[in-house]
Amino acid sequence: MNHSFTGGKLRNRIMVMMVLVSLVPTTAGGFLSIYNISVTHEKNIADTEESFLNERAGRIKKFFDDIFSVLHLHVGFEQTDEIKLSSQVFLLDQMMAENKSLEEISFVNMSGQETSRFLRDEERPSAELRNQSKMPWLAVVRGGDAYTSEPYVTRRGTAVYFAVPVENKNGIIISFIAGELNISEVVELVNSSRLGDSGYLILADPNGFMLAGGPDSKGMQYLGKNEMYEQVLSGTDATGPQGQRRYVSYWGEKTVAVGVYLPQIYSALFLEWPVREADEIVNGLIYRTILMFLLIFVSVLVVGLFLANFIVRPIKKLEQGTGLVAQGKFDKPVEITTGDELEELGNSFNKMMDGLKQLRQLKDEFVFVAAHELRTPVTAIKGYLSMIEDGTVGPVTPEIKEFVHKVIDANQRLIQLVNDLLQVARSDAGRMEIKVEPSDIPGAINLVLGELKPLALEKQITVTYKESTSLPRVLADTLRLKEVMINLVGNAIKYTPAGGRIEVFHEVKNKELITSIKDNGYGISKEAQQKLFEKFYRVQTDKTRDITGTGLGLFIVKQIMDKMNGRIWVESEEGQGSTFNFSLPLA
Amino acid sequence: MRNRYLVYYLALLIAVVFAASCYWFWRMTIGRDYEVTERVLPRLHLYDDPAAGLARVKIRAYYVVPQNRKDQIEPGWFEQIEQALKESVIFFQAQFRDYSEISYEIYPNPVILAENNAVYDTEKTDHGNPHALQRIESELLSRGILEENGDEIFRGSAFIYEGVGASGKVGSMILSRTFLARAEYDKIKSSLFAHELGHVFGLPDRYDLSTDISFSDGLMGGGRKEPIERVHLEGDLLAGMGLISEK
Repeated sequence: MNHSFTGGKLRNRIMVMMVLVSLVPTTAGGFLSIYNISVTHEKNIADTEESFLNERAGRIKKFFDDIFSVLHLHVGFEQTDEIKLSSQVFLLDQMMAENKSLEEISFVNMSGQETSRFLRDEERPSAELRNQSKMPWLAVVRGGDAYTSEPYVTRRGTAVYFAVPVENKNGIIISFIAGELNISEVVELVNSSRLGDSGYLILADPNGFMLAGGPDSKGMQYLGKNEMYEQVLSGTDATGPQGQRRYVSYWGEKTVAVGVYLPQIYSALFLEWPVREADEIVNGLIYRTILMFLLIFVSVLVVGLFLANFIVRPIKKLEQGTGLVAQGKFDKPVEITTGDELEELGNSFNKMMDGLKQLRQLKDEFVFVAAHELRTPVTAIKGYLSMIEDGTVGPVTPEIKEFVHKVIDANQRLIQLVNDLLQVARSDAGRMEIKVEPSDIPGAINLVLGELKPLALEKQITVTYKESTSLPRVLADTLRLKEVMINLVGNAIKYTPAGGRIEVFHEVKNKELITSIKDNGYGISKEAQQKLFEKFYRVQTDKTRDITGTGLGLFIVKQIMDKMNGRIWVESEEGQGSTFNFSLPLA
Repeated sequence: MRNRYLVYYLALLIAVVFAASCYWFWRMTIGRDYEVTERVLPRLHLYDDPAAGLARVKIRAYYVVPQNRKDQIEPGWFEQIEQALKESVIFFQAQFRDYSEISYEIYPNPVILAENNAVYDTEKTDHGNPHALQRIESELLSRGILEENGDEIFRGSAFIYEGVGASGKVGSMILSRTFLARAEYDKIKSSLFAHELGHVFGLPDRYDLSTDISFSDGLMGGGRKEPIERVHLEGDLLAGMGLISEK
């Protein structure tokens, strides 16, 4: 299992699944909510704007309707002559008194000549009666239709010129009423209208000039061009969710707008609402939702991490426990207290460990007892065989002697095996006694080399010892040290062909004394080097097949070095020879 | 092996879908595109002459007195001219929607012409006596009194004449001081001045010269005889000056 800093694969997988399970529905739900809010908000904005705009447009329309309904006279007689002058004056005077928006009003006869005329702020009828026969509107009203001009600007305010027919009882046109209507009331309505804090109206003439309104209520600016303006000024309303537009206004602010056409004066009424206010609520909602989602995301990640670790921790403990079992350590039970199946698994694992521990103890006991019990008979066998070989019990023929010698050799290997097994059993049971004290190595090495010299001479192997004159003392058990040297030098002799050479030398390095035994023998492969110090392992090649051994020697050597706080390692090339090194701490 | 990474593939797929959804949502709401209103500023120019811009205008008025009337100089001539000129400029400034910067000044002293009034008035002074306008303009030009156009400022001259005249053409106008002084013209004197000033900007008459019947109620038609506070400039004429779109 990968135990890197980022966590194991199981933990990461659990965490990802937790994040997915919690975040996917949350995200989907959040999206749907925000989408619904957004759509609803759009509709609400459109409805609000349309309602406001239509109400204002309705008031503007009523302004004109009220006036024109009064002006469009239907006299209750059948005559086709024009109305008497006195009546005209009376009517005009009344109209001026009742409609303060009228700047001037006049009766015009069918020939286009004004017959009476009143101007605002003049008490008497005006003496200036104009010939309107060449005015373009005359043809319109002669056809029975009312006429209004495009708005224009005078110093008295924004105004339109109008003309309406005067009909008799039979619907025949007998004259016309014309005049100028000051629409300052409309301008004032537009200027004073506010939607929320920042929404404003714009009254635009057919040429795209503002007559009134805007954020500063100043009007009198060219409005600029955009799709909304062009659409409405061409006569098509833009209202509702479909007609609503969002654009950067003339004043450089993002707005959401609607517009209607005012056919009476060929003008357009727009409502622009800056989005900073219009979308304030929904934007705040969206931002808070996104923030909340991010908080949830981070929380789920953090909590998920802890939970995943919490779930995986008992599994890691079990993994560590199996590792110890693999190393043969049965003294550390795993502690899992999750109160669920994992705890039961942990308990079962501990029971298994106890069982293995007992089994090993039994095995160790058996090995110890067996080896110990075997020692006596094999020693006796050795003694009796020696007596037979020596001829102590009688003459022995050369043939019998040869057979007896073979039995002695086999018995000797059995004795060695028994001794090694005993050593191993003692070590496993913790009964191997090591007495570490400052010691001189050269003495022990020389003793061992002396003991093994006959073996080396037998194979004509040269053994040299580069003994240094001032070697420091080391912390070691001299007796065990000799065992180590016997094993290593013995192996070197065994695994070096006849005529080879063996060197023993030292090196002091990092407060350790390193002793090396180098031979030019068969060498050891890289794969074999990995298992060299395991119990019962023996290198098996064509060249080494006939070499006898128990496979326990290097295991015992390693146990001894470990107990003396030393190290042992090998450097070897197959076919080139091997160098066994061990180090001991300086005294 | 396949099942081992399935969770991660799924997470990656969901992350991609999530990211795409976020982007789509952002484009639909906070990050949506906004059309930018095109700020097309009108370019005011002489009527029917787009090459002659009117972004900056300077009107200079002169009180011109024939030789034989130099002893009859009206003491209040400056105030009379100033009032009418000022109101006319205010009128045009408003009608031009402040897209033209109009300044004015009055030549500080009466300009005594070289000849008697008969020379400038001639025998035919109908249609506003344009003859007087041409004669006076030539004379002042030759005397170096008139300012000439040479920079980006459009310069117009207004001659308030102590004689008969009410006429205008591109660059200059003439108006008898009578129209600024007599009581019968008191209410309409500024309109009359503004009407002739309209000719300085190239605007045509909107009334029949022979019958005096107007065919518009704006300044260049019937509005010339109305108080200036009631007058406006005809929409089609403003279109011809580049202020509004042609219909």
